[in-house]
Amino acid sequence: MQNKQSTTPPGVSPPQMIITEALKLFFNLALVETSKVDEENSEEFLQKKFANKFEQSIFCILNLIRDIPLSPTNTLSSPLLNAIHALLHVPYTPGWDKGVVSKLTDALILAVPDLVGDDPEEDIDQLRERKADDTIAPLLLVLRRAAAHDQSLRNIIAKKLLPQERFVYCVSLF
Amino acid sequence: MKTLVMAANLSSGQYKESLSSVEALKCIANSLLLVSATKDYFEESNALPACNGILFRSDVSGMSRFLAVRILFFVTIDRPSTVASLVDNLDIASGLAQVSYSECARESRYPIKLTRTILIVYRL
Repeated sequence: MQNKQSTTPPGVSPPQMIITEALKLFFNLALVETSKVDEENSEEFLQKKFANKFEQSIFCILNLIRDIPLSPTNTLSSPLLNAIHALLHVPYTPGWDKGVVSKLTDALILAVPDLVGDDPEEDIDQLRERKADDTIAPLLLVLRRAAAHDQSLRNIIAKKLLPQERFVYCVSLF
Repeated sequence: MKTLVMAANLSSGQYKESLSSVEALKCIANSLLLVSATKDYFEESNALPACNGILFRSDVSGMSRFLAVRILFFVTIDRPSTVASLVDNLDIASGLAQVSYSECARESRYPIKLTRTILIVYRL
């Protein structure tokens, strides 16, 4: 218990810290509200009900993702990571547009070499230490949901993630 | 906790910001983080509506808003009844939207301020 740090930062809180806390609170609320599944209420129904109630907050979260600048190192950090977590319990809506999905795909492209690496000798403990599962898995789930609902978004993700045709041709020559 | 809630001006129903109330909010947030049982005392002191009310206020500082959101985050961990009360009775959806809107707007201005500060430092 002594090792725990103080909860409050010194000085005035910059907006980014308040946004991060608001996203964490949003995640808690969504987690509880969408887990009350029973015979009458499916998870999908509860997610839609929650999304209707928190429509304005979700709009802000999507705007935040669209506008946030990506850092080449430590890409999946606050508040982007918290925004991705917040979307985990929210159903797909047309608000998940090209800008949002494109930014999330770029984040994945930047985060994978940083968190997973390409060293064949790397063991699972090293990956755990970097918390690759905790950060990349939610991002993949959100991207998968977007891809499953919209063909045009699927095309954007494919274009960014899959090898280019010319590259495949060069590889096949060898 | 009762004393802290009173010092934070959360017991009267509407939060009044002062130097001491902000310090009391910091103490409440630290208590909730370090000792989970204090969540019961916080709710028994009927501080939840006033704390949630801070989200709707534009006349309080960023620190008060930050601490209110942080306190609400701590009290909603593993407490479905608190979450239900916030969502169904206290309209936290609107409060959270208000905070998100105003802070996202501030955030978009923040890098400009930072760039100007760096420029001044460089010139000095």
